[in-house]
Amino acid sequence: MWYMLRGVEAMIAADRLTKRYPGVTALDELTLEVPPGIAGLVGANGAGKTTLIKILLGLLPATGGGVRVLGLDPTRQGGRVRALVGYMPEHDCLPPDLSATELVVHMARVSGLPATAARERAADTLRHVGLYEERYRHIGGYSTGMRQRVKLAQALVHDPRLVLLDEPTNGLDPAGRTEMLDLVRRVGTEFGISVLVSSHHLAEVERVCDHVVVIDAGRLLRSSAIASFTGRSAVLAVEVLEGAEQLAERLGGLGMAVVPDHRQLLVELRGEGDTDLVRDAAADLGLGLVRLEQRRHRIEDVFRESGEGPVPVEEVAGVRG
Amino acid sequence: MSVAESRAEGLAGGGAGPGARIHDIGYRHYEGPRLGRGRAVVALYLQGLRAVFGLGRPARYKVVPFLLLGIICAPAVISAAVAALTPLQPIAYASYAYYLQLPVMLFVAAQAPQLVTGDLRFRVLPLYFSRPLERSDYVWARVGSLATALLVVLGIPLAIIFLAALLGHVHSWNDAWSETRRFLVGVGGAAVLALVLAALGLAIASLTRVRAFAIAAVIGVYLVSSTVVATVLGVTHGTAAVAGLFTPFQLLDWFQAWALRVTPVARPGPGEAGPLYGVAVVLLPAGCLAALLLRYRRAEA
Repeated sequence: MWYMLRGVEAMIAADRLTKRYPGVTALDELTLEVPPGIAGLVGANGAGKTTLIKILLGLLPATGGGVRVLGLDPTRQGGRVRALVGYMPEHDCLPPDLSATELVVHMARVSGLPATAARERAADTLRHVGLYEERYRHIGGYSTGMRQRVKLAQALVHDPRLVLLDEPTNGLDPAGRTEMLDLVRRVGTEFGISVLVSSHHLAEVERVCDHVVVIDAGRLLRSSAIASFTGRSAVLAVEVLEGAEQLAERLGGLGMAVVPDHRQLLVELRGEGDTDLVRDAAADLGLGLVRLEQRRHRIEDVFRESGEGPVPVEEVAGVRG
Repeated sequence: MSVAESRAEGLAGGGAGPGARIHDIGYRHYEGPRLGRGRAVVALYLQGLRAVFGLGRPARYKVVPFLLLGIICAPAVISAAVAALTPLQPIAYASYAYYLQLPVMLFVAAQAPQLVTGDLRFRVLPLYFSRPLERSDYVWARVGSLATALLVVLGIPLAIIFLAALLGHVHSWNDAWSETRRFLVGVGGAAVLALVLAALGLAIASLTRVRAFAIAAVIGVYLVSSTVVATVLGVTHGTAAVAGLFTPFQLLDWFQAWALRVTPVARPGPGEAGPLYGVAVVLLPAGCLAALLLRYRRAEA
C-alpha cells in the first residue's frame, strides 16, 4: 500500500494530492509520508499548509490524489479521523464570554466524552498546558499566550492520537514562542501524542521536530527526518541549590561541554552514562540537586544563543520568511 | 541506576520520608468510553438549550429570557385565576400563542442570535467541525435547542391554565377528558409553532455575525410580515385567505383551524385554502432548514 512507510503505518501520507481553487492551485501533486512522532510543516504564508491540514481533517475535499491519516481516508471516513485527531486553528477561535474551563469541558463533551470524564480531562489538560487559577476567568481577559494554550488544550482534551497545530507560535513574543515550542515537544514526548506543527520558521520547527516537511506553492520541497538524537548531541539542564561553578568545573574536568544559563547549567550529553556522571558529581560535591532535565536543544544552538561561538545554520533554498 | 529509574523509585514512594508528596503525576491517557457522534450532537443540543435561558451563565444572561417568559406566562395566571373565581372561560389553549405573539417573537429575536452569531463572530465553528460532528449536526442541534426552548416557553402557560382548570371547574371524568384533549391539541399546535419559529429565527439570525443586526432582522421580518398580512386581511375582510400564509402566527392560527378543527382567533378562517396551510406549515420550516444547511455547508471551518 502506498501509505505504508517501510512496513509501518505512516501517520500522514499523501499521494499526488492536489487541491485547486478557481484560479489558484493550493496543493500541486503533493506526495509525502510522515512517520509517527513530531513533524514540522514548513512553508511561507500561502504555501498550502492550512489547506493541507483541512484536507487531513476531512473538512475540505481534495481535487485529486489520495490522502491517509492514521491509516484512514479523511475524505470518506472524516468522522473517524476527527475522533482520533485534535486540531488547533491558526486564527482566534475562542468565545470571550466563557472561561477556559467551560469551553474545554464543552469541547470534550462534543468530542463524545461523558460528563464526568470531560470535566476531569479538561482540568488535567489545562494544567498540562500551564493554565491554573486563571482557567476560571473569562477568556476575553487572556493574553495571546494564554489564548494559544487554551486552543492547544481544546485540541488535546479528548486525548487524540495526533494533533494538527496550525501556526501555534503566531502572534507570540520570543519568550512565548519558546514556551509554546517546549509545550509542543512535551505533547510529542511526554504525552506520547503525534504532532504535525505548521510554521513559517524552519529553524523554530527544527528545534522540536523529528521530521520536517517543507512545502512551497503547494509543492513538496523536502520531507526528511531531522538527524537523529545520537547524531546530534542532546542537552541536560542541571539545577543545583548552590555551587553551580564548582559543578561546572568538575564536569569540565570530565571532558563535558558546560554552559551556564541563568540559574542552570546546560551540559552536553555524549552518551547514556553522562546523566549518571552528572548526578554522581553533584553527590560527590554534596550539592543539592534540584533538577535534571533532558532537553532537545542541539548543543550548537546553546552555544549560539549564549554567544560563545558561531554556528552555521543551514537554510533550505526556496523557503521564504 | 539511571535517572529515569531513580525517578520511578521516587514516585513509587520507596524510602520517601513523611511529608513527601507527589505534585505532578504526568500526562495520563484517556481510557474511558468515547460516545461518538450521536452523543456529541446531544451535548451540543443541551448546551444550546441551556444557553437560550442563560443557565450556567452570569445573571445578566438570564434577565431577558426569564423576563419574557414571565410576561408570556402572566396572562395565563390571571386568566386561570379569573376563571376560578368567576364563570368566565380562561384563554383557549390553541389561541394563547396568537394573543401573546409579540413577547413570543421578542423571545425568538433575543435568543436565536445567542445560539448562532457568537459561533460565527468568534470563529468557534472550526472547533466543532474538527470533531466527529458533521456540519448538518450543528444545524439540527441548534434548531432542536431553540425549538425545545420555545415549546417550554409556549407550554408553561398552557400547563398553568390546564392545572387551574383541573383543580377548579372540572367536575366529572367527561369534563376532565375533554379538557385534556383541548390541552393536548394546544400543546401540539405549540410544538408546530415552536419548530416554525425556531427554524425561521435561526435562518435569519445566521445571516449575520452581529447580534444586534440579527435581533433587528428577526423583529423586522415579523413586523413587516404581520403588518402586511393584517392589512391585506383587513382590506379584504378576511376573504383573501392565502394572505395568512405569510406571517407565522396567522399561518399557525389557520393551520390549527383547518387541521385540528379549532376555532381560529382571526375570523373567518382559511376556508377553501385550508390545505395550503397544511403544506405551508411543512414547507416553511423545511425551507428554513435547507437554507441553514446550505449556510453551514459553506461556513468557513
